[in-house]
Amino acid sequence: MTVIEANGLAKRYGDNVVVDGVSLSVKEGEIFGILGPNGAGKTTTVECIAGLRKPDAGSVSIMGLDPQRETREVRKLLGMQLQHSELPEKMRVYEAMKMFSSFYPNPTDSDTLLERLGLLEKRKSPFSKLSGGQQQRLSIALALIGQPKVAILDELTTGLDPSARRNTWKLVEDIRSTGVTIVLVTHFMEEAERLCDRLALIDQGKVVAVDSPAGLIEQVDTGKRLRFRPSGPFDHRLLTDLDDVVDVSEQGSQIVVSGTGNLLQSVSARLASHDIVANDLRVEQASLEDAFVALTGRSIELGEHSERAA
Amino acid sequence: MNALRSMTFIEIKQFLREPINSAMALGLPTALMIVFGNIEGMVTPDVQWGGLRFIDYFGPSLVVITVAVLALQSMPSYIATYREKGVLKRLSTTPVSPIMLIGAQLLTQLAASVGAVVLLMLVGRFGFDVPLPNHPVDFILAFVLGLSALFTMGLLLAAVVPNGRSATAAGFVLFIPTLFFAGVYAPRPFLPDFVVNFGGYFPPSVQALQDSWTGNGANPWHLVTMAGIVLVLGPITAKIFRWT
Repeated sequence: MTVIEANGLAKRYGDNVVVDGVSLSVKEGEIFGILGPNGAGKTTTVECIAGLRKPDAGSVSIMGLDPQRETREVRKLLGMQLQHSELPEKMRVYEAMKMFSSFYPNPTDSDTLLERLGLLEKRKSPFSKLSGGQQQRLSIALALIGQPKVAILDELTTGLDPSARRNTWKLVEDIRSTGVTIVLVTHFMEEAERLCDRLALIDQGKVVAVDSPAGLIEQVDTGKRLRFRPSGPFDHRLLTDLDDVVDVSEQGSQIVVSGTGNLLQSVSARLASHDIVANDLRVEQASLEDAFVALTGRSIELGEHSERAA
Repeated sequence: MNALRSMTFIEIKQFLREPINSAMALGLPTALMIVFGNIEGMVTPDVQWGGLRFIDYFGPSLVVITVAVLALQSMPSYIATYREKGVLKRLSTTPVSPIMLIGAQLLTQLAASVGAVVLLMLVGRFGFDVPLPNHPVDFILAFVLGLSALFTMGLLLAAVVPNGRSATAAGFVLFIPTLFFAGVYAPRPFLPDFVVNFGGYFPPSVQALQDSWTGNGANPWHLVTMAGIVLVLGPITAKIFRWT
């Protein structure tokens, strides 16, 4: 079943086209990623989907409801964790939970939710005394308190340290296992690869590709690469005449072989028959990062840095 | 309504957690009354104050101090901070409108205003024999309308300033003339006539408070002006209010 259907969303600010014909459909129970560099239009896209912004063109349906017209109904079904959203400094965790509970017809038990998020012992702490990770988890708790069917999580782990980030990922998987459909906005490759069932690559306001992480990588997989240190003298021609091998080169003491098909088997068989041992053998495969570069012609990290500089 | 009640309750708690601000707003006028009440010259009737004691005469100006601190300093800085921190935007992702938070904040500030004035009157009445208003109905009208006009000005400010700090700074620009026209810096008999007259029309109309407290009842034009300010500035505020 389709939970979110967006068609031809467009949004511009002055001459700046931020979202340029984005269409997506999110299925029930999946973690759907929206991946792209900063400034790609990811946040504007989800804010249009959630009805926080009015798109200039296109339509959105969330479980059959129009977020522009049936806003209140949509708000009850959709929890949203916003990027850069704080609470008043002196507001205590339990106060925020109590306040947000009062907004929904069927709120979940606040202490149970805090416990699941590891915040129960912090329930009396003021917001300003929470760590970045705790503030982020509280933000998730507030997005989930109304028992939404869909949760949009925007740049959930930005600014968190690696261990807090990993804990947050675990949490997202837990939330999904309770049947909540999740839209995850991120610019972290690793996060998208680890969590998402399917993801949309967004660049310069356009959807470049939609697939599973593995599917995206396969789309652009131009080949595999092997690296090893040969145990003895080694002639390139030993490998270049293999069908699966495209290229052989040297990097310092390492031999780098690129090719296709059963590259690993054919290379190791040939080396074995000449009594050469491949030390420190590594197989390199395309990553989501490579897929992004191949599909957009740009590096996601570069996009991020240029955003920061700007 | 459940949401408004829980928000107002939490807003009141937040307000009380700023001890300096809340003590200043709630207690300053009463503290001043206690100080004046213990100064010989201020508890002796004098023609200068229309034959009243200074302490009887000065009540309305003390009321203006309270209302001005709350409406022009405290409230705009809360609302601007909520905008700055993304609290208003976060609320717009819930079934409850961020307008509700502004409502809860206003209710909190109104409760503080009423509390401070009641405290002032009780301490004045029982501590220093300051009479209660001669015309209670007029006084309540003048208080409610003057308060509304000043809070509308505060909201207009909160509508446009980018953050809490600039709200405080911009609030000060309105705060100074408000206290000046209310005769806080120099008691009004020392001010030129046109300034005293204008004080009837500048929110929250100290003259209307004075006339209903120690005089013969509020001048309807003063009250109409306060209502007019709300009716004109209110819709403008709603129109230009920035939520994010």
